[in-house]
Amino acid sequence: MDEETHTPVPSTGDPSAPFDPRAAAELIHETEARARRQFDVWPPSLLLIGAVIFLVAYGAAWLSVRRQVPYVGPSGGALAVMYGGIVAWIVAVSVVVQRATSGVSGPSVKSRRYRAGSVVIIVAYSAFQGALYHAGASHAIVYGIYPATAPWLFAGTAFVTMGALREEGRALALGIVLVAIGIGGAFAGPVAAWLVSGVGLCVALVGFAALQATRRRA
Amino acid sequence: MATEELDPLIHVPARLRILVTLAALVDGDALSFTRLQELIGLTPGNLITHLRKLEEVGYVESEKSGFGATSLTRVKLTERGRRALGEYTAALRDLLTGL
Repeated sequence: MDEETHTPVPSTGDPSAPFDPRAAAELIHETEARARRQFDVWPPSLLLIGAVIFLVAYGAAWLSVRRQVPYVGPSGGALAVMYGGIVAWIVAVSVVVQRATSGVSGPSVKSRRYRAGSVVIIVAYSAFQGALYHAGASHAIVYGIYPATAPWLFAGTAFVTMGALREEGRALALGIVLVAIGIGGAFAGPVAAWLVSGVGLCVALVGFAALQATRRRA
Repeated sequence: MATEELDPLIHVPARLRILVTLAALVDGDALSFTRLQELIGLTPGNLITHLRKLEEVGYVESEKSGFGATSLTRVKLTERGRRALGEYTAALRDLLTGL
């Protein structure tokens, strides 16, 4: 609380107690800020953790492929770092979402089901990698451009669709950024695609965290 | 404008907290009684009393499901409640500007 503008706020529900309008305004501000924090499924701290994780995860993949001629794909160690980081972030997101939405029911829960459905589709889409390999696509495609960029292209498309349907500006913006990262990475080639994805996601998540922090302060 | 012109049903700390907390949810979402109590910091009896008053004027609606230990009460801000809170906030802003 800002001590400079401190106004005593009654904490009890005694209806007979005088309630100063300034105290009421402060109570609204505090309660609103607290509720937003409590219900927020994307707190800035989580987004910043994600930014670091994706930078390290995709950076590790890029470091392991940057001198490869011909291109064979990320090393086992780099993949372990990458998938370990992604799994850790998914766990962190699940814990935060679980805590934030505890006791909440209604339309937003339904939209979370849509998001869960999107995750299933993304996993299925990743299985397409196997089909590419089976069809004889090069390592540069199967172990480079496709895994480094396709998930973001697809996730971005899902966010854009959801944002447009539900008129959610943040989801729409995030979707457009993810699509841009996916396309940019694909154009960058199998080696730089990892770097573009890592740096792109890091910048996007830091930007999203800054937006969320600004929104909380508003 | 005087404080008397503020909706007396909302101009009570506990009820104001209840409405502002419910208004922070996505439109149409409901909150369990337990979580609301945890966020507002009132005793169950106190919270029930305030909720009843808000329910009487149609600002919130509650829905109970299940029986006994497994029963769950969900509380939701109504359209009328959201409008009343908006009007209260606007009136409060006018009042503070005039002070």
